[in-house]
Amino acid sequence: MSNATAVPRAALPPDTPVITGWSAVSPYGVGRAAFAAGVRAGAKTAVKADAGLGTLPSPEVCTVPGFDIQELLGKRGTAKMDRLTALALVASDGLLRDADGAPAVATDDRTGVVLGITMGSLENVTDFLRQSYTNERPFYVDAGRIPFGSLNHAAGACAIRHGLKGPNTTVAGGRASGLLALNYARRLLAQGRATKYVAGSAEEFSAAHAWYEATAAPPGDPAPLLGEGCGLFLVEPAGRAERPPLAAVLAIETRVDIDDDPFAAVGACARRALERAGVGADEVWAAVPCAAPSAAGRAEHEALAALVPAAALGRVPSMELLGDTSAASASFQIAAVLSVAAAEPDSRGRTALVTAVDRDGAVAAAVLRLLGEDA
Amino acid sequence: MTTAAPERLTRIREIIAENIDVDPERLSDTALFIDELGADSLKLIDVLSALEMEYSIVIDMNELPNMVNVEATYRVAAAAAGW
Repeated sequence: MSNATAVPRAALPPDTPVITGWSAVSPYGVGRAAFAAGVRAGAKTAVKADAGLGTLPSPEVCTVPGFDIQELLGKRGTAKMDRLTALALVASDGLLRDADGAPAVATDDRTGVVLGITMGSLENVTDFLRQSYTNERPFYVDAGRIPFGSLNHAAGACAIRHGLKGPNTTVAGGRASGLLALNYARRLLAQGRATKYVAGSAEEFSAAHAWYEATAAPPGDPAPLLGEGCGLFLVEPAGRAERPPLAAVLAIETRVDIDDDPFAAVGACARRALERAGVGADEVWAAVPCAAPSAAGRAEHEALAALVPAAALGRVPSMELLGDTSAASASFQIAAVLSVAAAEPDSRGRTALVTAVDRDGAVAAAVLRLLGEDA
Repeated sequence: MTTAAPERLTRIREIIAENIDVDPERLSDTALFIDELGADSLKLIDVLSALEMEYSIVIDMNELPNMVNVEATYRVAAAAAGW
């Protein structure tokens, strides 16, 4: 790890939010190293679905390899844990603990957590409802699963696991949720409501999720190849950051595509974010769309291609390699650009543009300044 | 109390162990769920609902404070089931 050529922190206004750490549990494996290596290699992650998942609309999946909840988190309290919570907990361990499980990041009573999701653990909720409909009586349900069915459970579990007593928030914003979470952290840090933030987003793969997405796809379209995982970032104000910043969050812009014109909405959102960051579109070093397998996802790519230099769009391998990771995608996009930048010293001081678009019209764009070293 | 049927008692112990998160081997007939094994009232509701499902019975929620250990929980289930 070398900080020799990193941009001096003093150059940043002290209240600029900076990313000083990240972790990922992804189809490339558990941990940041596996993610960075997979992204840099542009490796595919699709595998034949495990037979244990039952009948699925698509034979292939991009699941986290070897993700055994009890093996990774121990037996206590995990017997009925949903996969989404487990993905978030394992990612939070990667962010906040060292290889021996000891705390690696100083936290205090005002360290916040904000996690982006789509609908929580669909598998847990649908299983529970199915029990109520199909069992002998409607109240013959597995009561132990109820806490895991609440939308904010994963964020709460992360805070409890690491003793984080700052604001705890769940943002249900689909593909945009990773950027919405980062924006939420940025705002609360700026308001002095938290000293640092664990911010990111997560999505679980399950049969319920796969059937939901297949049903929601336009008639005639094949079932989407789905991924899963969780990406988390440590976000602090530059002036108080305890670790060297990897990237500064210069601007985050969100809007709703009310005209059903994702090309125009993404273009306008990205231009506005760049404007607020004080960066020209021609200065963008890397642009990373969410690559959703939909008309909106294709329009997003075209909108960025019309805006930034061609080289910028090819800098980071397509997120398609991870499958459609839905709520986790924007966090993976940021992690991917950090992974690529870490291996390219030329990236330091350059700008990255990360965008997201969801089928309900949510659009978001973030502008990051790439700053420093990485593992 | 009527003598507990061994297979039912074994099964009830398994259900309790799973729901209050302890090893079945640690779960004696008399160890107190809350005071000795670290369970809480929420977990006891999980036990109650799991027993209801397992034996297709209905257990009055007012029995919850009586379900202090395996032996007592068996008695509550037996009364509800008419064993």
